[in-house]
Amino acid sequence: MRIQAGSVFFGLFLSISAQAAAPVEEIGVQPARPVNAVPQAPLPAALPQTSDVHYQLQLLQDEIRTLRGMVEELNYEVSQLKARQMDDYMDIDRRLSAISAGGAASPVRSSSAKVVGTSGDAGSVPAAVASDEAEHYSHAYNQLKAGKITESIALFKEHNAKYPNGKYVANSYYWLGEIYVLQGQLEPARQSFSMVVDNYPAHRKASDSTFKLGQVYYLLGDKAKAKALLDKAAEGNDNSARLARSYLKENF
Amino acid sequence: MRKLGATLSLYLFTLVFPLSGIAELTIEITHGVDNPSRIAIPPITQAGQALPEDISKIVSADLERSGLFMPLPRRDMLSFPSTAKEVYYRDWRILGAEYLVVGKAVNQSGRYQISFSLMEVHGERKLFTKVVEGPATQLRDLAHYISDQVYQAVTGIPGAFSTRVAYVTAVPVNGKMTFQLMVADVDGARERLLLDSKQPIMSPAWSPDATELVYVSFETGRPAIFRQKLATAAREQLTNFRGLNGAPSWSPNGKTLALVLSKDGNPEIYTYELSTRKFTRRTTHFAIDTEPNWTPDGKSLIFTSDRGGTPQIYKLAIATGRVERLTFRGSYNARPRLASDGRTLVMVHRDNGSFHIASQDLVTGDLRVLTQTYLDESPTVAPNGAMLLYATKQGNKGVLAAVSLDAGVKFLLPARRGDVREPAWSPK
Repeated sequence: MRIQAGSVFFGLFLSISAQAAAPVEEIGVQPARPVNAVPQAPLPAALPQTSDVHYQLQLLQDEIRTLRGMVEELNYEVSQLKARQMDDYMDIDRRLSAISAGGAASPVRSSSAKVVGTSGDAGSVPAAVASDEAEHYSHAYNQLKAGKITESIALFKEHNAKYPNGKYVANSYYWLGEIYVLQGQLEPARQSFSMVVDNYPAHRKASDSTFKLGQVYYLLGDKAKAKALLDKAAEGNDNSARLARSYLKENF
Repeated sequence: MRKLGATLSLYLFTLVFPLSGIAELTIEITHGVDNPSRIAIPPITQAGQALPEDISKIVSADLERSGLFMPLPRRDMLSFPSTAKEVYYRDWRILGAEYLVVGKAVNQSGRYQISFSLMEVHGERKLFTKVVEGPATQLRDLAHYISDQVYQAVTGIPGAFSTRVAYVTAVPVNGKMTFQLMVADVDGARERLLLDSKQPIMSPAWSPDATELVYVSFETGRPAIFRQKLATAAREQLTNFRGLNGAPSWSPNGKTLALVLSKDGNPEIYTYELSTRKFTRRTTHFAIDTEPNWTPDGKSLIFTSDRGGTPQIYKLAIATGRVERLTFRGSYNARPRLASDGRTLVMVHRDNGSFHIASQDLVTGDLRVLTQTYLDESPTVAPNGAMLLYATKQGNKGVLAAVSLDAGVKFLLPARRGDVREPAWSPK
């Protein structure tokens, strides 16, 4: 088929060159004409003019084609740039909010050292505090269930600061992690899930967090870490292990 | 990269169709996927008696050609089971087979009934049992049907082994070129001559029901478009305009042709209603508009135009006349064809001065060069969208080649004599 297309293009080229050649031929022939051919006089005068117009038309058409091509390409580039600018904007927005969230999260992380250091005391929490603690946690959790995301983030954070050695800290970090993933804030999500995985390896939420942390690393682009965590999560036989296995299958 | 280098000589059909001696096709697989599924297909017989066609051999060749399967050689097989009950999975596990196809034929007053089963060897389970029947003359069709079923069950994609290819051959006879329009099974077998001419034949295209072809023939001294029925070889001349009459393409509903005419001085796209014989001009531009092809919904045409200074591919919405440029990479993109998903565009793309087949995802815009051969042209996509055929050069001979849309599988279909060009893959 390209042969055919080629011959079409070639054909056009031929017709252009034939038309372009015409005035030259006319001029060249003119002096050789008989002098007495008076009635024909207007004709040779008119011919170069029409073919000149034709030639000009060809030039204009070529020029328009070139310009059209440039407009099409510029249009395309503009739409590409628009799309890229939007992506860049989203990316920067995400990073900025991750930094601001990260600023809030890092003190939490430094407090985690305390959690580890004093975890032996976890059992000796006074009873009154424990009930406050449970109430505070369930309040935060209910806000989350009610879809009040901003409130629940604040409450979970408050919970972690208030009861660093509490019973529900692991759950609280886990839910923070979930929320951050949903919001696309991968770095704070990573920190939250890491808290559970690193500090509460025996907790009920630890296996879920391992799987989620693996996912977050994958989304962050650290495939090696993601693979290690997902492999670990895939070992068991619970729901998160099944999810981890299918996630591994799909992505590795 | 695994080189199979297998040459499947299709000797059977030469006995049946003496015509095929002219330019029969053979197949050379040059590049397969890294890890094809190993499949075993013991002979399918009628109570131990061989059938007129070796069904399991045809199925093996079909599946091997897809590049996704590696059939086990028959001589390695420890047993020839014909029903699921006779299968000892251990035998096949030893050979490393992942899948096993067994079947048997029954002859009922001239018609063959073949029941066949697909088994997964490791899971030791039967995936399906199906029955297909037809006369002795259609044994190859029955074999291709089995290939389709197996391919779909394993890959999830419908098979395209029951399809055909139309193409043009050019063979020198007594120093003069003879052009022939041929149709063959997609495995190269049962090649049939449709038209023989001393003048060039170009641009064959299928009707959507795959019973007719349209093509351009120069037999009247200038290009003219003909339609021809495959079953009866009856044909009709559709156009006889001055100048170019070219590149016909059948609409998905079968009622309209898109074609190129230069009767008004410049190649433009027209549509032609087959029932009313009415032409409608669809493009009006002093640039060249050519090679129209329908989108699967029949609402738009994609075509090549140099209205932007270089040949590029455009899309024309028929209802509104709105034209939109589709290709932006490279200074030459032509001969567009859409896969049946309406999203994958294939075309001839010039890349560093040589012509290759490329695909472009119309949603993401990703362009991918699929071939490494030179002077590639005329891509045509299989109805299942898994592979495409194209014409290329091997030495100075025109040959057909195939490549999967993911560029993982490649094979050549060199003709023994003469040039082969302008393949058109049947829509079903």
